[in-house]
Amino acid sequence: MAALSLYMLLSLFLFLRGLGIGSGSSNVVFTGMLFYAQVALTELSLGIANQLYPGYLIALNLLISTILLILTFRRYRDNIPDARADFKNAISAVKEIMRWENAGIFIVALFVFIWMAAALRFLPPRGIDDLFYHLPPIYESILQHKLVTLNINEGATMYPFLFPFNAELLFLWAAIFQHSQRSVDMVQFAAAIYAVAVIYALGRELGLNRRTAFFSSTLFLFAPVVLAQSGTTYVDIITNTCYLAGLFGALKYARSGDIRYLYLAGAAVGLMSGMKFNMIILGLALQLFIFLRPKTAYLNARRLSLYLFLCILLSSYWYVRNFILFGSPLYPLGAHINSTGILTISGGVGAAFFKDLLLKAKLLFVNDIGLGSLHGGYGILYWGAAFPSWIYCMWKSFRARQFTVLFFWLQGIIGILMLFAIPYDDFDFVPRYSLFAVGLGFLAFGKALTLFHDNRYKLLTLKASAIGLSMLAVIHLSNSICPVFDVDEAAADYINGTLRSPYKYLSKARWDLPSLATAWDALDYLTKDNSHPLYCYAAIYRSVLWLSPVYGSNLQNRVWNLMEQDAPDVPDAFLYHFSAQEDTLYLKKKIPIEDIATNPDYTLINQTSKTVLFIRKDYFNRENNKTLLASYYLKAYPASVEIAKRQKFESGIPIIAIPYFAGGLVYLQISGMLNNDVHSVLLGFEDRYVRNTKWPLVYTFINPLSGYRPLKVAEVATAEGPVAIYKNIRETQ
Amino acid sequence: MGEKEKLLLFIVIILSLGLQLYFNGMTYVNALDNFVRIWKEILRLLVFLAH
Repeated sequence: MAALSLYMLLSLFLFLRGLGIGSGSSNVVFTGMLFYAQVALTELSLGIANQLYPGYLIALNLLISTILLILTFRRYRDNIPDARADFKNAISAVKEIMRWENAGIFIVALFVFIWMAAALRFLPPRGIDDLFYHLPPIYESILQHKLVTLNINEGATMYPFLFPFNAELLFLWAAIFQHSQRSVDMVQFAAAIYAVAVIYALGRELGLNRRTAFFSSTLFLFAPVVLAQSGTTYVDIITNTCYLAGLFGALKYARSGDIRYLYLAGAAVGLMSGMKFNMIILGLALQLFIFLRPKTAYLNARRLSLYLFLCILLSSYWYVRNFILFGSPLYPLGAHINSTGILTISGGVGAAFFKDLLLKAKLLFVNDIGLGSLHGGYGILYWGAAFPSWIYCMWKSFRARQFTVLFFWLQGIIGILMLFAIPYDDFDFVPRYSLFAVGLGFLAFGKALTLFHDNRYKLLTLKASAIGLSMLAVIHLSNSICPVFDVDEAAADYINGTLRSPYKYLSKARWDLPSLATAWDALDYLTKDNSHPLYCYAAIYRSVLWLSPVYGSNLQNRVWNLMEQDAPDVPDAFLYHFSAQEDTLYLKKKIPIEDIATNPDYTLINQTSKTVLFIRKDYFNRENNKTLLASYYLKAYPASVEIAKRQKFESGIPIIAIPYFAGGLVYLQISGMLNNDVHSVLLGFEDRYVRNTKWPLVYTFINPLSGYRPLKVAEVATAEGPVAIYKNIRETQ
Repeated sequence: MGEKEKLLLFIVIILSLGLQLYFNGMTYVNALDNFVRIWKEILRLLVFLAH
């Protein structure tokens, strides 16, 4: 993937150089947008044609990039500057940039790069919405080799599956070649770095020198919400970066009249409109730049058509799909508004309305709402320095009657208004929607810094504060609960050679993630060497319908409930997750847990207070899988293995135990140290489990069996108190 | 641009930063223990990889 991406980027970069597009930074913005457009269009084309195979995707993109290279060297060769001149230019740029404050910010960035690399290596995708609806349709598309729309008739719960998915196509790009979900988390981080390049280009366009443009643009990377979201497969960094690139194109067009920049804006508007419905509003706002263009820039019908064509080409698939399937291109937007109240002002009219606005303003400025999660937290530096600078920049451009620049700064108002339109109850989830305002803010901070170039101490104070507060934001990442960035346990396991599945490391995450992760960890580890998929049935309650981890790290499993065809009649594995407050969602078919817990064809792998995982017993007939099961219990339940080793059982008598005790016993059985059949059974289901057997003698833990005469043979000390082991002797009828 | 205007902007930024530190500063500082714990292991990992 990396080599192909680099080849595509290089061919686009040289092609754009051949076309003579602007400065180096403009070229980088164009290259990024066109790369993204190429990825999206090739995936869409192959996906629509049901030919979404990695080989075809590689071949198609190689073909396009090679044609571009041939075209560049045949027709535009003379336009490409000498490589030595480019190199010299780059060196002088680095010399100009590498001053003390940028060196400081570079050191802070080093912490981020190392941490993100470790998180990418050791932690799985671990947001909330990404596990629910961003990733499963992408994985299904990879596995079914076509663009899959998960249209499950379960009402509002399933609406998000029908949102536009342009941003998710980048996750598909990261996952399809390695057939793995291990790389998907790097996409948003890459987008954040691209965002820095776009903000840098904007800074240069607004007259900042390289040194200040680099400094102020890099600060975007250290906004707490950007840091937190960089490790997830949410899409807000991608969508907002697209918007910033579109803003760059629109501003350049409005100031220079160069039509190529309008096309760049068109590509960005098309891509972002195909990501989220709310991006249409921002896309429409960008159209106003067209009217601000110089009078000499004549916009004829052909040019306008090409611009509109780009907008439509890159966004239309999702809208056409929804129109064909549901009769409305914006489906499920209307239904979604009715069902959740999103995009409504909760305060009503009059005084309540203003009270609502003030409360929201307080939440943003005083509480920095969402801080410590991927939902929000613009950071101390943004609210303390960038936000006042942004207001100053608006006022200054208004006073100087620079209306194009004023309109540019005013885009931030649209971002904030978008936030205020969200009901109060949902407010702590939304600051991420307007991330571009953070970028604009830091740009404004860069403009403010230039005012103090003649006052060394003020400049030093502001720059040193920015570096210090950026480092503080990086430190704060260690307290993030959604997603977690705790890699210490995984790093220690790596050093000790005890690394298991990445899902193991969600034990410190919030909500139901730790409970579910126990099952995901086992499922992923036990199926990691599978050449054939394991079909897993998942019954989970609505609020936490997180299905993407079921696919496994290498997409080695299938979610039985999401398969429309080719699914076996009976699943291989069952994952149940219950809540006392909410009904369980049984997608496709209701298979109650009682049916599986009493079915001797399935073995209980593990359970927590809310989550249970069963796998077919015959899956472990294969020697490799049996060894993995023993290895899993040895690593996951070492205390259980120790307890099991201390017990004495008469040979040949079946043992029924809950996983905490069964883990160690299964390990001993597989290792040949125990001559008993061990049955891992859900607590309370022992009687029903043995009902159809004719075992004269059975060992059980905690509960004696009814219909048997119990003989207490041992007692095991546990943290929760002593646990009795019974030898149950069948009573003769 | 007038010196008074620049000074005013500087004061607003410093005051605003101060207010932000007052409101949320401890939230950041409280993360220091976790940061040290995580980075101890990351550094151990880097040393391990370097060998």
